[in-house]
Amino acid sequence: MNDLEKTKKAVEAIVFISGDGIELSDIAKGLSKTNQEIKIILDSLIDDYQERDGGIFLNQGGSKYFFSTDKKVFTSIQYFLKENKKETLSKAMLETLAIIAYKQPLTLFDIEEVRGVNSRAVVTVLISKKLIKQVGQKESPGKPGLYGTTKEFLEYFGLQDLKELPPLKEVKEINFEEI
Amino acid sequence: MVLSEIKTNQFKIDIQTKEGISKNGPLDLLWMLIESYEVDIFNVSLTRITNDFCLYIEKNDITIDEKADFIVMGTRLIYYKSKLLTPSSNIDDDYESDSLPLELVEQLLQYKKFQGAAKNLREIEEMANMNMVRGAIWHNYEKGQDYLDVDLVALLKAFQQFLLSVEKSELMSIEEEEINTELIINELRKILLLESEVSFFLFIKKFTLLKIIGTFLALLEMAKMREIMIVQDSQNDDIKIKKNYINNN
Repeated sequence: MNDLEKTKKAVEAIVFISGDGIELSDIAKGLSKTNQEIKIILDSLIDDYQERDGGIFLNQGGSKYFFSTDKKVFTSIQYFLKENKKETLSKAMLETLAIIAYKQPLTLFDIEEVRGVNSRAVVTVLISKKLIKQVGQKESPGKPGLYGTTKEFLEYFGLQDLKELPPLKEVKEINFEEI
Repeated sequence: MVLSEIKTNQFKIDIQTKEGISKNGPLDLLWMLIESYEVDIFNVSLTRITNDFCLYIEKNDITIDEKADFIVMGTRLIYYKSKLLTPSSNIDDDYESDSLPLELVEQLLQYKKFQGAAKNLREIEEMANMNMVRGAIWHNYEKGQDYLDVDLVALLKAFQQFLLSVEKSELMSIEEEEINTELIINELRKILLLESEVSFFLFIKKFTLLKIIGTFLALLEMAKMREIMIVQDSQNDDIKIKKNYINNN
């Protein structure tokens, strides 16, 4: 068994024991490898599981890697789950998150301009949920805080990066009878 | 009134709570009105929508705090409308015609766009929630604090169940004896020093009915002192007695 195969086995085992996920850089550090080497290995492992098309997959959410079950078996395994339904975000939270995700970095005022309602409370909740954070300050009078999404946001939605978000659909293209 | 044609209960102004749960804002109300007119957003009459909008917030019995965002929008509409009435030297003025000004249309479309994006996010969220990671299985009650949540009713039921089976058993002879819960507590403590988990059913297997009751009381007493944790997977199951590490140190 050559060194690469050995490392690949180790990486797979580490992700397995990590449960709900481990950072790529942590694996690299633990195995004294570079992030790049580990990234290549993880990518090939993801491909392996995809090819196998079994009950579990290796997934990436943000910079975290984890094993998770296939969506297709969700209803079958539901009985075994502690909580049958995870808490989901409210409509207002999702709306605000969507605005931040697509337009970041932006200020509270920018958010309120789109939503037309006071959004301070929603933003506070999202910050406490670690889905967004202040990423800077706008160079304008009052230096308002600029908000952006966090890596927990990516983990929560199971996205590798923001590019994976579906493109914004222009409403002008939508036929009004459809709405 | 035009508004009376619309079912007034169709749109509900949701109040912003401390948790930030606000659902419908002035833009939602505008969209609801526009959709009820069944015309293209560029052909909506500013007069009509201003009247309906103002009537709507007037009719709704909510406090000024909750209304603030709606009132801001209402005044904006009235401002646009007043512009319409004053003659303007600029022929290309946006406010010339009785349609919604472009900036408001722009905002409404923008809002709709992000509502669509929010819907997409919801789908992604649902998908992500269907991927279960290790540890999602229901036996992960080992998390600590959760333990102390003992459903007393279930516990008592299990105990009663057991008493019934004891009473039926012929091997049992019930003699008069004196039960000291203190002694039982000490006995349990000794066992828990050596073992991390004790099965209640096994522990009391050879006890008399009176002593079983005494043991049960001793358990409750120890749980009250946060010395032990009592775990029961489901009703009628065995009751597991565990040392409470959380408060012991």
